[in-house]
Amino acid sequence: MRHDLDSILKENFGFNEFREGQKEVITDVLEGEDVLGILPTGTGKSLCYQLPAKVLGGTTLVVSPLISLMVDQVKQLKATGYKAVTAVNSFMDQPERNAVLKNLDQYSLVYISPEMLQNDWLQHRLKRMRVHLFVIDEAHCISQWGHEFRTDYLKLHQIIENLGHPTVMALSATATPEVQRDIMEKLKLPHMKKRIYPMDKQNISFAVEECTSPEEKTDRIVQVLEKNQAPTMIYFSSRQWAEKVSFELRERLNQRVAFYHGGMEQTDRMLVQQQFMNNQLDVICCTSAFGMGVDKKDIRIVIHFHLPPQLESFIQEVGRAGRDGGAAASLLLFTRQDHYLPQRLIQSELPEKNDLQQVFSFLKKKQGEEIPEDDGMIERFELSESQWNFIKFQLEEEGALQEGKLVGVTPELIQEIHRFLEERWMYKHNKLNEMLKWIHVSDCRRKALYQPFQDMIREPTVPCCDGCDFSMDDLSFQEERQTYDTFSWEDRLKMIFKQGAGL
Amino acid sequence: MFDHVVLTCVDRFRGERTVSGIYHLLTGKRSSQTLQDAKGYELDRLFGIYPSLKREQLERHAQALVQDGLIQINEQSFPTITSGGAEQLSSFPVDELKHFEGMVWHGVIPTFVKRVYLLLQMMANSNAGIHHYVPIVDDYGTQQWVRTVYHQFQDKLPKMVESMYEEIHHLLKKHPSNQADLFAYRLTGGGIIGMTIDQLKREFGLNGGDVELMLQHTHYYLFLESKKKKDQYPVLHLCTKGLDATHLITRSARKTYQYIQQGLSLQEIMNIRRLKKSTIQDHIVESALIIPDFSIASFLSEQDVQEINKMGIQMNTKKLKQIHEALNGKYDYFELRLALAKGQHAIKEGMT
Ligand SMILES: Nc1ncnc2c1ncn2[C@@H]1O[C@H](COP(=O)(O)OP(=O)(O)OP(=O)(O)O)[C@@H](O)[C@H]1O
Ligand SMILES: [Mg+2]
Ligand SMILES: [Zn+2]
Repeated sequence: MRHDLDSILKENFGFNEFREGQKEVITDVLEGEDVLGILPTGTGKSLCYQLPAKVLGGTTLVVSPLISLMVDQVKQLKATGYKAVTAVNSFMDQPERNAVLKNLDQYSLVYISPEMLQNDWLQHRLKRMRVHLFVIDEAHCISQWGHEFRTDYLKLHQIIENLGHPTVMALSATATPEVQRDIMEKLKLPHMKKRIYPMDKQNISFAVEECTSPEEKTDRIVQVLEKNQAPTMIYFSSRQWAEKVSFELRERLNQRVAFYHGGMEQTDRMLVQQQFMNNQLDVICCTSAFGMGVDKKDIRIVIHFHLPPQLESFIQEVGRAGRDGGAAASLLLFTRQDHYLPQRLIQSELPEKNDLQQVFSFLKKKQGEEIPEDDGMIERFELSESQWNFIKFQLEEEGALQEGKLVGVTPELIQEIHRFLEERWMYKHNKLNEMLKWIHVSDCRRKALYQPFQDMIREPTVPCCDGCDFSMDDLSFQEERQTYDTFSWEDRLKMIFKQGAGL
Repeated sequence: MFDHVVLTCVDRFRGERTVSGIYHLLTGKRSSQTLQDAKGYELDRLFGIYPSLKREQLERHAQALVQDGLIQINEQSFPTITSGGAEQLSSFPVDELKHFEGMVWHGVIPTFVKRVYLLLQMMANSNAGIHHYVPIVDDYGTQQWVRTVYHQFQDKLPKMVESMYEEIHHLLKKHPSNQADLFAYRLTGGGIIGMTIDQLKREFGLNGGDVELMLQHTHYYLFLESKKKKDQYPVLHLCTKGLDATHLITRSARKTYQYIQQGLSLQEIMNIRRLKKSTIQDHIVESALIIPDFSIASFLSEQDVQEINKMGIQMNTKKLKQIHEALNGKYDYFELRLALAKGQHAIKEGMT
């Protein structure tokens, strides 16, 4: 069966041509081949399965790691008129979930979280549907060497098997060759077709600057944004900082600034996101909770106020900029003290040796019993959620946790887990060191950034980096902005309802 | 506005309830204690008007009022109003709070609000020719509701848009203008995205709590007006459809109530329901509070009820401990609460 892909693209998505890689990956799955697609951030991986979903009929299942990301994508799709799409996740309320599950086979695109997939009933339901394409988005999550390892991803190969092996598409923007191999191995699909595209973004200029204090960072941002008027994102490693700096920028800049983080109330979060999309805001101060789901095409500047814990996160966050292909710039600010911040982040993810010891001596006494409730364990041993998840998964992986019961928590097992923990620590520290090394690079930063991922780095279409020919001070974006400054509630109401003259 | 609300609570509680009591009242905690407080101290209008209030936020606010010399908090953490506070309280414009009817409506206001915001977005957008957008209300039930309205009135849509504008305009015209401002800037539609609470605070120079309460007050106002006057506000009235007054009795208490109506004793109910004695007693007090003709004759005689209530009035207090002592421990606390709950209706009836 041959399809005129170009006209399908035009008709359904309104684009004139495919971006690099899209057509190849799409053709593969239409021909029934399993494919691993590595395409740069922001170039349009979603389209790689949205288009086949239309062509193939039946259901396309998309596994996505972050619920918020999933929900955002579904909202955006629906907003563009793509209606036969839904996201199944544990946060849906009962009536909605019932309605969706009842009509699951009516949807052409079903986003699903990996933990939901573990549900027996759902698996059974899926088995009786025509799942034609099984997509794994952010596929690096399956690899322990990927930067966002998710334990639930490891069980995907079983589900693929249960579903009678539909065509599989695994997608990622940030996977080193090592991670690519690991993905294929963990999916047990050694013959996957590899479609690897260079991930260096040719339209982004890079700069890194050292400051002596957080105040100096803020001063520098003010300086930059006084000269530039364009959609900007500033990343922070904590909510407090995002808020604090947003307040200051508001005072000091003639720009519309807001903060965004996971601690905000749901409605407010949506409003800020929509305001930014709608160009009612110029600058967003956010944590990594933003970004992921945001697909604003004309972001021109991405600033990092804090060091991300590894290059992959950095690449992904920078990938928010210039999604329309136009020129964009990345600025990372750091102080010497900042090195400790990501370290603390790592600590909150992995349990400490001491904690591990205590947890195990507790669990040893529970042999043969059900594993205690998550909340109870988290509270009792003052663990973070991801620390406890780590331990639980290790138990499961080593066969010490079967059907919710603890069996064989032996000294050898504990040894083994200790060893693995150490490995993870090492790994994370190495990652951090890579990041640290990168900020101190003195020649071409672009090359240094992308080298671990690909052999050849292409010539950029914009000034390259501060190691070559670029300085943040050269940057000058001046975009027009529409303002909705009004005075009374009556004006505002009129504008909303398009009442009165001149509106 | 937040000041106004908190001072009102402190004033009415007369130093007999803690800041925690105020917190439970404003967030609408469904315990018989809180319900009893709301009725007893005539704060039922404010019951549950601020469900998203955080405990620390209220505590911080109370501290600020202490600093300003408007209230005092004693060692047992019971706040009382100062003369300065009383003065302040009487200087607030009465219009500010007059539409709150929390006890009766707090259960349905959130649904009404979600409907209005989403329906308005849908209408304003279709009016502006915007057909693809992200719904501003994330709630499945509300989205279903708006969808139904859309299909039902598809051909009348332009008229309805016009009407919705007129209705809101007309109502806001008669409302304090600062509250009207907040509401209008909170709305999303016609290509304009509404402001967050934080942005509203900044834009209008308000403090924490004020924005939420002022918006909420406007919501009550729109709800009550449009609920009453269907002909005058047809579109807003549509948003009130099926939203009825809350019957505050909890399901569990209702069950106990039914057993009592069937003539079962407290002990028997405890056995059947496998609940603690105190829980069953709570249910009984709750029933007495909510259901005016609930007979408590099997627990207390008419004279007992009168004696207890008389003492309460005489001592000018609702504090159980004081009444308990004054009556030399003749009644236990359950009996006292029950009598006071019953007495509540007597007072109400006496007034009308
Ligand atoms: N062929 C195309 N022509 C023009 N625009 C496109 C094309 N394909 C996709 N886009 C647009 O590119 C943007 C980015 O798409 P998408 O969100 O799928 O990227 P992504 O690769 O998944 O990025 P991320 O790594 O951030 O997840 C979207 O706005 C999409 O509409
Ligand atoms: Mg993507
Ligand atoms: Zn360079």
